[in-house]
Amino acid sequence: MKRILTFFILFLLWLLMVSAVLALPPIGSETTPVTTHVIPRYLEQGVEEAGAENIVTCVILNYRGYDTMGEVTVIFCALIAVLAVVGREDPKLHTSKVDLVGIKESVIVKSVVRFLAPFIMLFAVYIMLHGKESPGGGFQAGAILGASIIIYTMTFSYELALSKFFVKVRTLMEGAGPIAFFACGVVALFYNQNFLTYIIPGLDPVTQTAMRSLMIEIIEVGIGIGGGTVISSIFLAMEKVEK
Amino acid sequence: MTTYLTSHSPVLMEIIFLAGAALTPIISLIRKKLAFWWALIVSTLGFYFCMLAAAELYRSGPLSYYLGGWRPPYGIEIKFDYLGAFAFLILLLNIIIMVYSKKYMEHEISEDKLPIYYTLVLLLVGGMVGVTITGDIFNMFVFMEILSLAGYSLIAITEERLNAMASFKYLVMGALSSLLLLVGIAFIYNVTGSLNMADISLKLQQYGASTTAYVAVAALIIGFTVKAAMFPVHIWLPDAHGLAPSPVSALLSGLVIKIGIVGILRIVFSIYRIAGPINFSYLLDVLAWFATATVIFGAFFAFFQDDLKIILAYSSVSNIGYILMGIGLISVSNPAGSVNAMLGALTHVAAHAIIKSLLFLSAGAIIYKTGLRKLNDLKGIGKKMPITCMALVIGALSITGVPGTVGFWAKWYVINGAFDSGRLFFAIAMLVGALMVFAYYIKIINVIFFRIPENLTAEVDEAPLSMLIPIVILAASCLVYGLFYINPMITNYFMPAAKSLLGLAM
Repeated sequence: MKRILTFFILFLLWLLMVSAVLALPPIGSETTPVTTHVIPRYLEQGVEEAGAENIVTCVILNYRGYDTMGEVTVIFCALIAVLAVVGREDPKLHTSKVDLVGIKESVIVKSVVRFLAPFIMLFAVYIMLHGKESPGGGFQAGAILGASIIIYTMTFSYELALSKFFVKVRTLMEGAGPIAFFACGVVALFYNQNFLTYIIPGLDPVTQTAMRSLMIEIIEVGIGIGGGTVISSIFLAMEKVEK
Repeated sequence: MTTYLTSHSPVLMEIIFLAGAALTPIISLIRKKLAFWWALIVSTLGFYFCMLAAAELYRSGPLSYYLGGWRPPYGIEIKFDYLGAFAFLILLLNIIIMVYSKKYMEHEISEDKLPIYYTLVLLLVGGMVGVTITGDIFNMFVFMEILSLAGYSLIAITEERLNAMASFKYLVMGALSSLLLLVGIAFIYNVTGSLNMADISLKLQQYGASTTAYVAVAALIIGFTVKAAMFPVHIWLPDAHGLAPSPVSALLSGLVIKIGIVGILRIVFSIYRIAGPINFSYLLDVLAWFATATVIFGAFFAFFQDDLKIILAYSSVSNIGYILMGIGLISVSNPAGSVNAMLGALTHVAAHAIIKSLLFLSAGAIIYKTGLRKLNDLKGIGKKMPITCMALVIGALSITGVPGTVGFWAKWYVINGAFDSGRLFFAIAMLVGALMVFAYYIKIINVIFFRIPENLTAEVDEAPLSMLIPIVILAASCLVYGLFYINPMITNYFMPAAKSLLGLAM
């Protein structure tokens, strides 16, 4: 009985949601509010106004940069939440042999990872710095960076990974995303411009654009490094064996 | 200098918490205990900026701040209006609770976790301020995520099994409500093409109400009522607020659940507007009925509890009911006649924040000193810790609404609102709820003052000064505001706030 009732209520909710989705303006049409209201300005003037050839980067780092600052803080917050619940990694708590030695037997896997890891990191740096012109950017680069560290830890041993990526160094880099945003956003306040304005008045146009490019790059790098460190720190902290 | 800071204050009071939180782990590399002082400095600066903004709001009306210099609807707008001024109370209570938490948390968690605790508190407060003062609906969601994540993990920070369970329950309900909020925001964006609240409001007038706009408002309201802990979806609250460390309970119960209320007010009164295309009268009616259930059941369940803090948590559910009742009693056709109901809801948001922080902090001081939390074990504690227990009594009297305390005025206005709209049933329900609340607080007062101690050891004495002073300040403000300052507060702040939300002339 309870199940039937649940099913019935869920079915009603499903109907409601479907009716709402069906009533949506058609996707891709040229006359919907979405395509006529805000977006045309982004597409037409984004490259000039916001200073990145990739319109997505324009929107996430310039027009709606504050939201991205919040999102980056959410990622940082996720790490702190993990640390609050399970705590930092502790090599002494590691008793499980499997985790400690990694895949000892397979020479092939080890050599391939040893060979590939630097290239994966290089690719992450490329994605990070190219976010301004082409698809990519700090978030994607962070994920790749984190993945390379995870792959390294899983093939070689946990302890080797801990001896390479020190806790203190990681602590310094974890907040890089919000800090990079803050550092670049605050520059405008010294010139009495609004927070996150990258254009500084009073300079010649060439320096202005160069400064703006530099600040967007710094933020991309900050998000990339911060994101990558957060992912690897979460991974290393969760490796802890149950007490 | 002051004008410069004032013009940037809406963003400064917000980003200082985000940047401060990101820097806390780095600062505490030097020494773990520095985290507290750092967090205190950040909180004080945030409060200072908020004071500047509040003074400006008083002098010349709401402040708008365009991030990156992009005008809405292209960029994000921060709006420090009368509803946004709730940030003032958040930041003030945050400082008081933070001073209290120094000793308490050193006792509760290991030293390694102190920096993490303060980072999370800064994120929580930053998130709350962000949601309160934003003028952009997606930005609101982003900060809602920050505050929710920080809230879930602050409950589980003590590493006890029950806490992990409570936190997980909160996480599941919270994730569901976040999902609903996101769906609602996506629908609104699809219908209007905009994310700025003022702009959405205009566009909704222009395009009229579609099915999607109706479902969007339903999704958003349900999402926010989960965050605010309305009756059927309150199940996460008692465990989460009862088991969390006391300063965290004070933050969560005093402030975080009010963010759900702020969200509802924003959606109904500043985005859709009651004079707008959607007829809100049915929705508000439903809200009033659910609020009745929340008032009665919140008080009812508290009867069967033995744990001091869980009783307080249930009382939060009951009191959220009063706030929702104030909102539900607003009549769409006659906004001018509903000022009392709205005034009651807003006043109770502020009053309950102060009172519930006071109650949780004084309960926390008792737990800190004795390690006991069951009512039966705490018999006669009032003789050992007279100041803390007197503060607890003042809080209990305020929350039941005894005349002369802040709690009285809030309930007075809500009940007047019920009379104004001619719906006597709700007034009676609220009086019954108040009596039930009174009954179990009498039980608490009876146990702590008029019973002979059984389990208490002789060396239990008053809590340390850094915990006692915040409690005394909060207790004093309950009385001082209730007796002397309530009229200036209402004419200068709450009345304009209620009128601006209802769309009336000041």
